Amino acid sequence: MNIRISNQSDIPIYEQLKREIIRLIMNGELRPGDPLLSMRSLAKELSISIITTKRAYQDLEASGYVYSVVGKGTFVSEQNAENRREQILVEIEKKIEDLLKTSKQVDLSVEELAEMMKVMEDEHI
Amino acid sequence: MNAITVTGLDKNMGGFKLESIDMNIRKGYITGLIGENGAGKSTVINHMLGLKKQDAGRINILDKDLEAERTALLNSIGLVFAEDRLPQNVTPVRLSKLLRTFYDQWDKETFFSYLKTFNVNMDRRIKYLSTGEKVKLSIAIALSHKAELLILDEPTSNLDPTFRMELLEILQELMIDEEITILFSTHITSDLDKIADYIIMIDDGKIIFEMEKETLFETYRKVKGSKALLDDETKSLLIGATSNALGFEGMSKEYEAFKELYGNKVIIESLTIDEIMYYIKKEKRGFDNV
Repeated sequence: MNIRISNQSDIPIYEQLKREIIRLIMNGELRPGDPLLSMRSLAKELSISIITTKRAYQDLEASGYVYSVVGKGTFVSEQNAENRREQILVEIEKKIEDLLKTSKQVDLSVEELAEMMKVMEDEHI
Repeated sequence: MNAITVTGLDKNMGGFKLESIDMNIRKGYITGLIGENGAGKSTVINHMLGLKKQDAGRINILDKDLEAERTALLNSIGLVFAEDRLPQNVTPVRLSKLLRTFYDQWDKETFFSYLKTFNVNMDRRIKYLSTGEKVKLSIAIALSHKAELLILDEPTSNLDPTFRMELLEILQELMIDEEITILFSTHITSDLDKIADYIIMIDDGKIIFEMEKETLFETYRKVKGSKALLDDETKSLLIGATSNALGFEGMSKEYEAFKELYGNKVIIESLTIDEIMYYIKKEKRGFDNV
């Protein structure tokens, strides 16, 4: 698993970890049925706390990305369309976050930003 | 489930006292015990080892009552102290023979392999070892008798940064085993920012908080903004706040309220454990108030 976590980010580590695993599932690096590293091994590999990985795995399980088998570990689920959509929404959220940060540098309000988007959309379609 | 449960521990030591200390050290996790020098970290740990007698309260370790089963318990606890508590006139090789009589499950192979990894001279008397080597030696001891519980009292204060990182890695390696519990007391909290699961802060003999680390980071945030934004009400939401010509800055649990009130005009930032400790101490001392 190729996972990147930043300690400097404002995004909580477990949230970053979740997004990274979703990314790996969505881009096909992790396929349905593939095992994930055990929570404790992953915590060690990433130098993060066990509770953090536990929480990320629990959230992923709750939203159906993975399932766990007692005594065996955690595995990637068959993905459904809804999950895919949710993933794309997460991606968009990330981009909006960047956009908002950049806009702040020039004191651009959300309304102005939305206006710019509308104009661009009209031009492209 | 808890590896250590402390309930209502009181101890009056003249100038300093521990007051109704309650602590839960969860089994299978790393708990960081933080606080300034003299806050009471070592005193609490000494009580956990039965080295001091409390005035009131109970300590339960690995489902056993400390008072009743201390000898058996010491076998399952691996100890690392910053200060020197080892016999000075023996070599590590000789020490291994002594420890075999002390610990039921002493594993000399593991011990020597750790000493090798840590680069500790095995044939030199302990008093001639460097401070770093002595700490490494006591870590090797703690890891070589199949302890279920590791108690590390300021283990990193005498270590160079490289070995500190190495130690954290070793601890995480141990944690892959679900049965191991670590209690790590330190005032160098950057060690804990990454790997700790729970944080307990002690100050002036009292517990300030006991929290899951991630929850701690979510509970407290730093708030910054211009002084004009502060009124009596918003001021009361800040912990350990300071202000100068450039604006105010403080910690708050109510950072969402600041965001709702002032939007882009305030900056909300995440904090390190060190900073959280700093703001709490500052609030307690009450200097520099806005």
